[in-house]
Amino acid sequence: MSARMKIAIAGAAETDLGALPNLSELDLRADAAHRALADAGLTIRDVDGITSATESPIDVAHYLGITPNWYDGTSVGGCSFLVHVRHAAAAIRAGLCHTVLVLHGESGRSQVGRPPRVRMPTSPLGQFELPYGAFAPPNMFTLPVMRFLARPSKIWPRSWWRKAIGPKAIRGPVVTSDSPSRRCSVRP
Amino acid sequence: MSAPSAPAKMVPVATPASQPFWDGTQVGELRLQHCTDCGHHFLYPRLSCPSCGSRKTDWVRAAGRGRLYSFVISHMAAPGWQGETPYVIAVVQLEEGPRMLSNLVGVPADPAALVLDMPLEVTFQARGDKMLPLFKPAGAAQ
Repeated sequence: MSARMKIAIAGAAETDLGALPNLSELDLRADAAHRALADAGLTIRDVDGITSATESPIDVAHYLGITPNWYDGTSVGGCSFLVHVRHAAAAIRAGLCHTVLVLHGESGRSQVGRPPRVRMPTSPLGQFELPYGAFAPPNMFTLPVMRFLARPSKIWPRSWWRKAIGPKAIRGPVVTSDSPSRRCSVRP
Repeated sequence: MSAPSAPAKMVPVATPASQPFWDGTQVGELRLQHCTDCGHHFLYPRLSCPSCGSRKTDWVRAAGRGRLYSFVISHMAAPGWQGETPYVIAVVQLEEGPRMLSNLVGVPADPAALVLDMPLEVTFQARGDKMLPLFKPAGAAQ
């Protein structure tokens, strides 16, 4: 394979967002898969690679009726799918596969078919972070932000905080101290 | 069938590598690992120095003094924390070098009372069979 071989993201799609009590996390992946294939003008017959974090890529492949030549189940938190895209490009370049579905689905609101997030009390997190009530992105990810924003050379306009809101977002703008009508969840 | 019980706060469970740390908190000492090759102090406990890779490490007692490196005031309750919000999750910069996560006590969970780099000192609070290292403003009563 040539190092200049062109590899493209040929299609992309989201499931519906919000409370979806009729879809498991596995169903959500399959729904996203069919929407993304439609966007790309492809079918499952074109697919020979699967990725999925948390849920086994083997189970996802069985569900969809795909026999993959290559799969990746790297599970490293919320950046897993970005990592999967890079791994998929490398796999295609190496000749291991041709067309890869990079999938994820979470039933955070409805908790359907959601594997438990195991938090071992023996892990570094379990011994040295979780006991202090730091347990979720809103009250963990802002810890470095507070220090970062305190640096005089790194003042971010407050408007930046509101820009990461997608068109299907259901929670609305980030709560800030200048919107006191909203219930505060974490400060900052 | 018993009714599902309310979730409890996380109680740390020691591994062989971290046992000296938790033995220390039990007797009112904050202990750190120290690399006898490069002199680096580190937390959390592990088999080798994260600065130079040496496996020659020992344990030392920290002074228990530090500064407020960063914090969040959490109005969200972690499992077991219902009724205790808001609470302060703090990153403490220890005098010896390592930074550790902890909670602040003896100070209101109010941004007006929390100043970055304010001096802190360790205090200990029971959690299950462990004593957890928490921090309070230096010189403050708990």
